[in-house]
Amino acid sequence: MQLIKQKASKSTVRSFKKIAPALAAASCSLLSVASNTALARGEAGTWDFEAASLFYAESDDRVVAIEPVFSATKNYKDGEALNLKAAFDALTGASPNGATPSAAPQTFTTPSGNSTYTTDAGDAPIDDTFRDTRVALSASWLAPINRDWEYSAAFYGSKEYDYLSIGTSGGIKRYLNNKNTALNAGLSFSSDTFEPEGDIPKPLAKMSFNDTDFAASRDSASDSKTIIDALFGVTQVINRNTIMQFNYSVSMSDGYLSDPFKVLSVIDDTTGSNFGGNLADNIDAANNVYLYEARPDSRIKHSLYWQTKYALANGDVIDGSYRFMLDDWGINSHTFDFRYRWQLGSSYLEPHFRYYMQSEADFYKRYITETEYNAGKLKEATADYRLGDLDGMTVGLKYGHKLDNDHEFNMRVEYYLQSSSGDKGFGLLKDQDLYPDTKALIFQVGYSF
Amino acid sequence: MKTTRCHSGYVLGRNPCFYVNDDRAKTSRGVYMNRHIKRCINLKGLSMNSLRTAIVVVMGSLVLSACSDLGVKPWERDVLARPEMQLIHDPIEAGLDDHIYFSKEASSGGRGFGGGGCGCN
Repeated sequence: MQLIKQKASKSTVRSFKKIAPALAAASCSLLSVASNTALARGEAGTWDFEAASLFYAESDDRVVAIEPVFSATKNYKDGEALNLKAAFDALTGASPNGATPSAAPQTFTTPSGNSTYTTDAGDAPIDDTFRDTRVALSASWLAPINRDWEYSAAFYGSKEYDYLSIGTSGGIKRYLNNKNTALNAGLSFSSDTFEPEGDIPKPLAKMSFNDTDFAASRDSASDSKTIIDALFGVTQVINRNTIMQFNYSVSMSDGYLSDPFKVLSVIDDTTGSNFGGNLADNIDAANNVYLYEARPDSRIKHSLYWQTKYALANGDVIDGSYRFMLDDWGINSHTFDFRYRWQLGSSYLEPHFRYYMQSEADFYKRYITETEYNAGKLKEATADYRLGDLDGMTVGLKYGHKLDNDHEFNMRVEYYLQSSSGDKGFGLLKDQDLYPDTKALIFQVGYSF
Repeated sequence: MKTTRCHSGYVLGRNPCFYVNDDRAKTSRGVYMNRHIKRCINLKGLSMNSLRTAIVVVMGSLVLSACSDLGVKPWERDVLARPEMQLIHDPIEAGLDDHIYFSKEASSGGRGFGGGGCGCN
């Protein structure tokens, strides 16, 4: 009996102290201060490696991304762990620019101002000049302070052609009730600088089609934002088969939060067609009026997160989570995530279902009317569908196989569907599909050793 | 200290009064004795924020005390120690998913920090 106790106790300590691989996992910033426990395969003094590559492709020749990731974790004998992670992104394809489709062809100036692109009548306007590469590096450190306390620290840097992000985070964890309860608190700081091709457009400035006006529509060569996140969590062992987690987090962003590549269409009050070509004093009289978007310069988001894992007697595992988010932009969202791990000897199959619902931001407008444009009272507006009424559904399947040497191979295929809804427009605009679906295929292969 | 409310009810912004048995009061001789006094409590400054804070503290205490009755003995952790029972079982997959959804939706974080890190949104 004593032997059994010792073995179980060792595995308990191992499961609670080896959380480093999760440190870099939980956000785009890769700054997660693990609010939970995670896996490490190796014993103290050894390195664990994980490699994976993601392929993401949207339908209709839109965004295609390839992202290889490599992670290495060194486990030390007293429970310390160092995790180093590198990720590379290569993105190409076209992205919706926010303008409405039209019964006539539409011409837009590229973000650089050097050329134009044209969208056919009835097609969703998309900017096909979109391509970028990104390198992201992170390092995180986790160490116990004593039997009941643990701390972690992380650093992160990411560079794209036109974007730089650097950040740091720290966290502390306190175990209670024989380590059945863990309290977490973490703080993260990130500083991002945006230096887009063609500079930053002025808020709600008119898209120009000649060099003089283009320069006048620009604000500065670069802009920045800071993001501070705080997270508080409780992880609770419920019984021998169940573990549960609750998190509350708040995120505060300040600075340039707009997308310099997104525009809004101005629509004629009478006909519902694009407005602008009939302006006598417009130098670009032959062109429609499009305005660069403007978002508020600050945002505060609150999130509540709940996750439960339950192990069935046959070895299968049920994993469910729910997140509620609301912010001071008027957006709130619900995210449901469900996975069932079906154990098949040394292999497993894991079906995955995710459902996401989001309400629109207060300043979201699918288009601007001629009256609103001429009144000039609008201060903030965006037609970015990612800030509109949006539902997202992901269905996927993962297969994994554990080899005799404790290495694991896995792959997953998922289908992601986004559906938007909102104001259907008027006049000729009603004939256009203002809210086309976005469909994406996600494919990933991974190997850990 | 025993408190009895003397009004039939009160609302935020009004000043309700309570009869209080103040057993901490001192006499002039320095001896403690019970006194039955009437006190009015100022609730005018009680904002919704402080009320929320109080609720969170009370709920948190209840949750934590409830948590002390949950859990397992150290030798009962065999199932929970399995790799697939870790809350984030595959950190790389979780990170890639967070990157995808951060780029395509208005929400991020919750499980961890929402952060920034890319110009994709």
